[in-house]
Amino acid sequence: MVTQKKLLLIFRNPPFSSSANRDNLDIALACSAFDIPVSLLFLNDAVLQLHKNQQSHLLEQKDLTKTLNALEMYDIDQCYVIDEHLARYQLSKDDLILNCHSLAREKLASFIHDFDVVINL
Amino acid sequence: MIFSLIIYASQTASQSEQSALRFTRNALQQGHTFHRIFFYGDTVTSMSNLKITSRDEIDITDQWLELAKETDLDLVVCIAAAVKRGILDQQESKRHQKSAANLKEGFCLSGLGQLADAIIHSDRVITFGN
Repeated sequence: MVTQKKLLLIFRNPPFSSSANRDNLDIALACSAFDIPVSLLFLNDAVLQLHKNQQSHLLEQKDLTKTLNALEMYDIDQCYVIDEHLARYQLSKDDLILNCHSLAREKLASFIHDFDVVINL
Repeated sequence: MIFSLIIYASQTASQSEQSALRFTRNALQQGHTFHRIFFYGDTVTSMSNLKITSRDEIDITDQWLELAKETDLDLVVCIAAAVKRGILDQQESKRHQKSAANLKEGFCLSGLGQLADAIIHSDRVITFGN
């Protein structure tokens, strides 16, 4: 019998800047298919990945928001942002494509500590 | 303790993969075991058997293979990351109707499911990234 481990994936890059964004999401989908409970944390510039109305076609890049929108179908609905990081870009949770929980910055360390596996590409 | 590693950074642009190799050697010497070494992202480009390493440099890829020979390491290269970067085994070469295969012998291409399996079966998963 294998004990169930909680996985946290940390996103740190702005949209369209790095293949890590896509690679991290692919890990989320694969692990969810193996019934590993997955949570996503978007730190700093990565909150911009969640911004509504991205026009990826102008950059001739793949639109990751479609994958992000599909996460719920994979039972991945635990997404987290830090309030201060949203405020830095004058964003509110209403501007985001996903329904995110907000965390206080001083709680970040203990939040991460609660997970069994953390991947931070 | 049972470890698995995710190696993510480019071998030519970063020291990460070498650090991972040294970590693995030392942990094995101390009696720990490894469930899987999972190569992901740009690091997969170094598993091409067309790569030439200059004589005064050490080929880390060969060192993984030497270590694997002595200790039975499971060296898995992410198939999606590999085919996207032109690293193909015979089967993928045939499937995509390419003229050649170039995955270095000793590594195997497989999916992210192997990473999920490693997460489930290891005490620690360590990422050697950018």
